[in-house]
Amino acid sequence: MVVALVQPFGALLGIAMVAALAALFARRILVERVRYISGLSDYLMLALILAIGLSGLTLNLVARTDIVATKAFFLGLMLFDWKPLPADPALLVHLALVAALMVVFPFSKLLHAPGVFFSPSRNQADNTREKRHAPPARLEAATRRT
Amino acid sequence: MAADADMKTEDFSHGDPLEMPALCPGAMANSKPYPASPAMQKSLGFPEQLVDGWHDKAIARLGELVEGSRALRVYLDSCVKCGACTDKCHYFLGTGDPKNMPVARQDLLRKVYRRHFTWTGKYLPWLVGAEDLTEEVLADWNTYFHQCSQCRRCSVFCPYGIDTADISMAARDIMDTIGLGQKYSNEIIGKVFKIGNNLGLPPKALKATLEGLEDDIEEETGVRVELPLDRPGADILLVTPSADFFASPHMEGLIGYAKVFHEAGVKWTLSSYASEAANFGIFIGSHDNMQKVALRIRKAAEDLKVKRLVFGECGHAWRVAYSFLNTLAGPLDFLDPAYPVPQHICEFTFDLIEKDKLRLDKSKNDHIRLTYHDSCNVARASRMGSKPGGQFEIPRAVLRAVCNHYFDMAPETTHENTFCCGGGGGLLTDELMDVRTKGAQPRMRALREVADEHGVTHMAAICAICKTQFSKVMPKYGFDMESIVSVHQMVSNAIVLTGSKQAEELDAAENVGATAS
Repeated sequence: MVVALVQPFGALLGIAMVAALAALFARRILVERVRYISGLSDYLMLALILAIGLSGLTLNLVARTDIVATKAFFLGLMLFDWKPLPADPALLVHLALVAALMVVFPFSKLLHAPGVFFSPSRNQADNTREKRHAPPARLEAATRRT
Repeated sequence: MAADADMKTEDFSHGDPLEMPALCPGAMANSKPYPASPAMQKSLGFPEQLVDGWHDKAIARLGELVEGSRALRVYLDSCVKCGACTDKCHYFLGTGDPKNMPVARQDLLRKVYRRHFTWTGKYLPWLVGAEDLTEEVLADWNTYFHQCSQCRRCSVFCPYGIDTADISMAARDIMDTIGLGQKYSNEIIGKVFKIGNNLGLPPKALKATLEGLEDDIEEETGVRVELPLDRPGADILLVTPSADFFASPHMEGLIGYAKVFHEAGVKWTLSSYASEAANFGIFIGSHDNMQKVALRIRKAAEDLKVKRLVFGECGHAWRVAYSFLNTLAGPLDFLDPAYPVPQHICEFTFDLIEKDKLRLDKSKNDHIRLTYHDSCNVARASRMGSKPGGQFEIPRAVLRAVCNHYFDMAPETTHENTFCCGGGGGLLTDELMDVRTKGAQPRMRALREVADEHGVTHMAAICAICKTQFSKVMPKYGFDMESIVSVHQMVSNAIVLTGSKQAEELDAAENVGATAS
């Protein structure tokens, strides 16, 4: 089955993700220029995602959780049919961190993902000689003054 | 060109243009511009000195600016502190001061923006590095926003295209609004309003200068090439930086424009009312002042009833002309739509070269081995021609047409990656000489590489600020101050005027060649 084929890669990719995040964290600390510009929130954001990765790996490699019961719980959420969640500490930590990530995502720099599409220096048309772009109302008034 | 006396020049003139300096916090903390005088401030509509309650007024102004500009708000919001820009600023590379890293410069304003205009900054300032606008922060603004030449090199490398120039313009606007102006820029804008140009050259002096140039050209070539001032009924109004009326190598460029117009057979004129292409309103981020300067050009074009508008060699002037003139002073529908409105002198000359309408003797520039410095505002904030990248190709095509020995500098220092000369953005003033010299280091090193490798002797530029800055700082890096030339100075050297002694000699030589063969 596809799932069986993909399964081993899950753990490998998990390890790769944690390693990459650790490298980013190390870069923030070790590269002097980047350390200078880093604030607490920059470190915390990395730490949060790193903790999600680590707790996820723990669930996979160290303290395996009851995956069938966990799946039943999530399907239950979607079908409005409440099922118990395994009271496994590692799982609870992992899910709590993911929930925290979903809460901070829209208010934090993580929203940079779509941000690039709104950057004026990247999305404005280069046609100022052909087309007049109307000035803000404040400047239009100034034109009429003269 | 390497002045032998300067061979002992400090080792900073050699090396990798992109070499990373060690961080030296506070290295440039003492570099501050002179404050504008109360009279100057008043003439631009700003408070005469730091106002009472400046803090609240500054925050209110910041609020107006982010409200009025989607760009500014996005730039202040979207930085993720990735660090891509940290080693891209020429002032950082030259000084090592961490506050000259573009993101750190932006953060000086961003931390105040966050404190007052974001939820996290209001309630959890320690988390996101939000800070109040204290006297120290204001002093930092004055220091470090006057170590930004608004060249936009950092924005090329920013994954979000955050434009530090926009942020430094906003910071300067706020400082002007609370009465803390910069002497150099504000004095110059005042001169434009009063006299018509940055140098404060009155019309009579201008007229005399132009007549002197006509005499010089006639003496040299035997041809009377006109440099008309305020000639009504001309087809073309040339607006050029006033440095072109005043000093080398700018003047040689102006002679070049005049010769090109003469050979093209067009009726053109300069204006004493708009005897300035530069628009320092952009440097101080003041839309109102920028517009007032731009409207002078519109008025001159209307009064002289011209059909076309051509700009001389000036970097930020071309940015304002190309990107903003239509918005600030438009619609310019009284001009002939068959030509670009406005047009750059390089576009004009390139067009003639393409149509083979100029007689050029390249050998007149054989004593020169040339490279070209892409001026930042032309390279990254405007275009020439009809295709993207024309602002890189057209000046080079003009230079290659008039010069046999042309070599480009390292690609990471040219085209859109070009380095600022170090004097742009309103920093071309003596009290900032230290930061100007250090900021020129990457460009000077790139020039040194081609000088060593290809024997390059001269560097051409199409910006009055670049030319002035380089003639001042080049000697500090072991180059002759005359190694900086105008693009149209090269054209002027090579152009063979119809009916000139040179043309007769060339004709004679060609006839001899024809009979011999």
